[in-house]
Amino acid sequence: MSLIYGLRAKQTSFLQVINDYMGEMRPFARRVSKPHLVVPLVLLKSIEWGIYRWHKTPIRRFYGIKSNELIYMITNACNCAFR
Amino acid sequence: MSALIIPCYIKSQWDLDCLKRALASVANQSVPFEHVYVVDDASPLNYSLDLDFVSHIKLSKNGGPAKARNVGIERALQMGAEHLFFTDHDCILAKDWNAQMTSFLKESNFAAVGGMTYSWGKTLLDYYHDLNGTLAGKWLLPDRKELWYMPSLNFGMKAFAAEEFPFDERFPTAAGEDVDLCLRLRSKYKIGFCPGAKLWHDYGYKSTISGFNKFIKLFKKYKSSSATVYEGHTVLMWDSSESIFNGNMYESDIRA
Repeated sequence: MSLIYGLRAKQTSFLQVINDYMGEMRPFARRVSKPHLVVPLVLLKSIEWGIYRWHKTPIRRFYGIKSNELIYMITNACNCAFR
Repeated sequence: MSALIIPCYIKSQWDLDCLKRALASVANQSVPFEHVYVVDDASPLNYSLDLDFVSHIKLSKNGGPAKARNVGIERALQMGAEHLFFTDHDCILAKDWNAQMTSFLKESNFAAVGGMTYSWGKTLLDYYHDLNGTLAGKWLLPDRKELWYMPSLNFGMKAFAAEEFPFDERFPTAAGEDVDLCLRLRSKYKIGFCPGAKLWHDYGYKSTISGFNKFIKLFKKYKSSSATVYEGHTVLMWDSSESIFNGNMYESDIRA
């Protein structure tokens, strides 16, 4: 595996983050019928989004697969299936 | 024949008051449950329930809500329950919750069902949860004909599904164990949605300001299970869902 591939796989581009954020916020904001509550509720949604995106928790895994091994397993399985 | 299973971990007077309120709504059902199991997961608070319609099971060792629910499932199946329903101690059932959920399971081919969850409190945080559908079901997109996931506080299964798919007891807290169950269950069966089965959940926010810390902790708790759930269910990477709220709860008549 090339180092460039590794670097790209680990880094999320700023645009991707913005895209993800807007993708969550737009449909949520449309649910708010009272205009004066749009800002506080979108703020709460942003907090939730931030927690799901960045909050680190103690690792409690029990399927015996280490973080990025999983994506390699899927890739291998797909490669085998289409060979 | 329907059974209701309520796992609980009572650590304060507030929890105990919630449990009593939940049981009052259970007693008030238009169609009563044949069996009601309150499974106490080795609570630190000593208490007793003097209610003749409740089987109070006390576990000697704390094992998490998944373990407690499985104990209830085992008892209910032994008693021949056909429909097994689940709620939490901090919930309040609408008068016809059992009637709605039972008739949905009887009249449809769905192996499991979820109802409509509302917030009990009136703070901005409660309103947020209602709009966000935090503890509501999630439509499976794009069709919205079945649920992708239903939180276990407003959930029911037919006996064969409960027998085949118990909760995974390796989940130590009330986070992720219901997602895991739904994803396993959906490998074979479908989960329906019954908008008429209403239930209120008390998040315990006294005010928007004082409840903010609790709000943050709630999402941190849910996030804590995500690594485990994602590892077990790679399908989460490409499945698409949408949380249910008042505005989309009647998107389709899924019984049709």
